[in-house]
Amino acid sequence: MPNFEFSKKNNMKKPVLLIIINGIIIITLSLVQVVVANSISTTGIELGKMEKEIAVYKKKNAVLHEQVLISSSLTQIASKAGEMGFEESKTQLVVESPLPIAKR
Amino acid sequence: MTDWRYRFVLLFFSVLLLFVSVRLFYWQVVRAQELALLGQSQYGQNVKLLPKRGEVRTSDGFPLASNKVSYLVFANPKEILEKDKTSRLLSPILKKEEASISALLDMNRYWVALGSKVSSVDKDEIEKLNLPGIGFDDQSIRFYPEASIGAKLLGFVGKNELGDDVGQFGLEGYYDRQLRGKEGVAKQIHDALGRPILAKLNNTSGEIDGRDLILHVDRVLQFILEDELKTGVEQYGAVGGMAAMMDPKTGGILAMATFPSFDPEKYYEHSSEQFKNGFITDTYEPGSTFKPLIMAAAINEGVVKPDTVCPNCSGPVEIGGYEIKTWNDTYRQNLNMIEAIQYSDNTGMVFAGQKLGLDRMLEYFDRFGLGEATGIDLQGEVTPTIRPRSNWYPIDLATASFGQGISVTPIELLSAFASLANNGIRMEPHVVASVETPEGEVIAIPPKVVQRTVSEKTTKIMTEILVNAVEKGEAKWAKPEGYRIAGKTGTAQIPVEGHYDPNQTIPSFIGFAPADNPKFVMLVVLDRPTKSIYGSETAAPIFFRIARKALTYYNIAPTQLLKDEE
Repeated sequence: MPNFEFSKKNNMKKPVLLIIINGIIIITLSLVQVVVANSISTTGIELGKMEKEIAVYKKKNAVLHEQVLISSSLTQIASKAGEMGFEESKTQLVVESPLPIAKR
Repeated sequence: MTDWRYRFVLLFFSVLLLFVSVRLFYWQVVRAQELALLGQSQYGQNVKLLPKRGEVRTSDGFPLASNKVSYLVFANPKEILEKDKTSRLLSPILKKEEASISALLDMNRYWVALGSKVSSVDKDEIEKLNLPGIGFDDQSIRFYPEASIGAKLLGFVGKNELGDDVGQFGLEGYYDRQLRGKEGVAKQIHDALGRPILAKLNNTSGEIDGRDLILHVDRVLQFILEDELKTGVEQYGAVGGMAAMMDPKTGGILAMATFPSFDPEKYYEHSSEQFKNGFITDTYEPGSTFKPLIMAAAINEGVVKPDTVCPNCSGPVEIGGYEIKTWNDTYRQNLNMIEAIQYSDNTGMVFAGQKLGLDRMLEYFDRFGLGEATGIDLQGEVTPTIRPRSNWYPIDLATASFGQGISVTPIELLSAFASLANNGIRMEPHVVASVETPEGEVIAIPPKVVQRTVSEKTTKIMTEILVNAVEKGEAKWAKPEGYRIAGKTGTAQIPVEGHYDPNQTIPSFIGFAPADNPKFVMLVVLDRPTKSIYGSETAAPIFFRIARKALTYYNIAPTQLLKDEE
């Protein structure tokens, strides 16, 4: 009987520390969760904005790419050249290297 | 009594447990999939990810077919109070009648489409008007920066019965699976107010962009060829015309065009007949442009030599009750084989054909690939058949010798003739040089040798015969000075109800340049020109104008001028 009393007292003392530590961890983690959740709660909106912005840039890029292609197309260049008075050359000039007088 | 109460309570809870278990089984197993989808729809929605269609680029990397952003303009008629004003303002931008826009806005609906494929410039203009009840949806449409250049080579992107994009005709049709890519699906998770949350798009599956095609087609040559062909068709009052240029060493198609053409972006405004690329779908009797093939076969077999004299070419030749004449009814005694090609003399060709014989002629048709598909990578190639040997009569052999009574497609003739410019090796004609994956990996399509047609020695002889035909033949006036070009004119008659039409022809010119180291082989065909019926006066000048520009583009100097000066 005395042995039982002794062991019961010892067992009662040990969990107190564990309970306190666990409690602190739980409270800390809860606080962290609240803080983190609070800080990221608006990222969805931010994300939405960023996605919209990316979409706008992508579209602008596509439109500019389209304009570059139209402006650099041969059809457009030939038409603009004609408007500016360029004419197709009808003659050809061939520059050839002079023939050697004598070969060693 | 106590025992009874105990048993009752036990039974009650057991039944309750069983009921709960059955219900759980029902929700979690029987209707699991349905409920999972229902749950997913409450916190997110499936987004269809459309792949980017691959580009079609010329050899210099410039896209002949690309994609561009456009918009669908829609309206909610319930929100629009000033319908007349809205119709009036939108009408000039959307290029639609004011009345038709007004009719759409008068409909008792929440959504009506006002315009499709609206450009970003027009969209900006509409936005500036600040009209209530007007919205926009993105659309990606096919875009052709060079407009209708190469239209029949490219084909177009139409819609199938489900409204999905489908490539049709030409390259868009042939390579549709490569260009199309693979559609993907993603789930967008959102909060109770519908705003996207951090998880963003997840569970993305399967989306793969289309592959790009890099062609053998040279943009500059394509532009030159189309420009000159169009001018020529108009100049000679032809119903239509077609031309193509091929690299004889690789079989790569450098340029190809057919007129009349169409605008691939507005394909729906044209009749389906205009979508066909005549160069691979139209069959015709090639006429004199076929003669070099027969002569090459006869020389290759050793049955004639260039200086072999035709003993019976001093007048019309009679075969099976038919009289075969020359095109201008002029006959020459002691005509040799060089002159037979130079003067495009039918009697001389009949002589060569008879010397060759039917069996060998049919064997050479096979070697030249006549009567079989060339294998070109374009949708819709037609293959005219060569009649079986038992159906050939002496008159058929005679007419086939000068290219009448036998049908070919222009691509068949070009491919066969190109072997004479490639030391006797026939290559498979190909438009696409390589395919580029979205990851940037380039998969090259190597040139494909089909077979040897004639010996290298024969091709050298034929080259000289064809150069002579250009220098001294009917088309010599149009030839660019200083260049050695090998070629042959053709003026094919059109069979109509058992006889040939005396007034309408299909003139053509086939040749390669520079003759000693060919950079290209080209065939120009006109359809029923009205200014002249002869190839030497219509197709030949077009050929030479294109050839001169192409040789200048390749920086090839005229060799004959230099020789004269030496």
